[in-house]
Amino acid sequence: MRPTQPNNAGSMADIAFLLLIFFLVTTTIESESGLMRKLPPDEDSSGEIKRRNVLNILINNDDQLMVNLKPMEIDALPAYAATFIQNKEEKSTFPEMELKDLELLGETMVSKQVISLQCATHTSYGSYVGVQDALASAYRSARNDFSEQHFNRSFDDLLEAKAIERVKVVQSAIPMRISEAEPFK
Amino acid sequence: MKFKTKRKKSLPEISTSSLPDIIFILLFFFMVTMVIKDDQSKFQVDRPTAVQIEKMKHLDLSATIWVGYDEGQSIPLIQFDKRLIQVDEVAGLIAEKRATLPESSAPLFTTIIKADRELPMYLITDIKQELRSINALKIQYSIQEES
Repeated sequence: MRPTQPNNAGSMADIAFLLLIFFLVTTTIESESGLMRKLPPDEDSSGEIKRRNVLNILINNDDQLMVNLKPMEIDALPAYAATFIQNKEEKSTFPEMELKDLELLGETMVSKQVISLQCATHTSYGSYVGVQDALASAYRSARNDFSEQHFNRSFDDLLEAKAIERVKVVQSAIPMRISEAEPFK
Repeated sequence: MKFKTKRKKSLPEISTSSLPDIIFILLFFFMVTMVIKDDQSKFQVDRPTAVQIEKMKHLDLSATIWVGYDEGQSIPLIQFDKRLIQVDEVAGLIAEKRATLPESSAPLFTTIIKADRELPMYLITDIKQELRSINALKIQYSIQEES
């Protein structure tokens, strides 16, 4: 009987690496991404809000936008909503400004903005999400602006650096207030 | 002239017997860590796209509702936990699902709405009203990730 030949080990390592790379490429870490929203509680105490403080957005059955009674394209909405939210020029048609006692900053002028979003019954879900997305970017740029003005850093920067205290201040200065009314016919 | 017979110097062989073991360990590791997706919908759902998206942190504290159309049909379907349901069942089923979680994590409970972009809003509003009625207020509008 011949002694058994020891087989070559080099290729085995290659196979191991191939397997490793194959699995690394094919396994994806499951993550759910989307727009997070919080619904208002059931017993909604909708007090009277002054008309100038509300940005009324209507989406009709054909997915067209009407912002404060004027038709508007979706692309123009983020910029318009951002100026509405901040009301830096203190326009009389834009929300009232008030002094709010904020941590770190003390009394600061912030606007009493509210955004009201109303759909028709046959508005498509896609365009609704599109508007929600546009409003999210409006709030984001408004917060970036506010943050740069008061902390010399953008809000995105603060989020990235996990500066929780300052993030909270900016969030309470410009809270995301999107109220949704029942769909109209 | 004398020729020296060249003998191949043989290196000591590396033992290969442990390599298959390494492969198996790797294989088992990946098999264990891989998550098998089982939340597929029974129908086609063409989700909308968005830019200002957030990643969800507590996937284990969530429930998914699929809303979409069967192929070529115009009647919207709602799916929860592998079966088709009616709108008025949403509150009960979500409450049931939330009850399985520890009470302390209930406020973190999120309902993921995976809905088709063509759906009419009244249906989404009805689902949201159902969720409000049981105080399950955190929702996520799931979007299509561009790959």
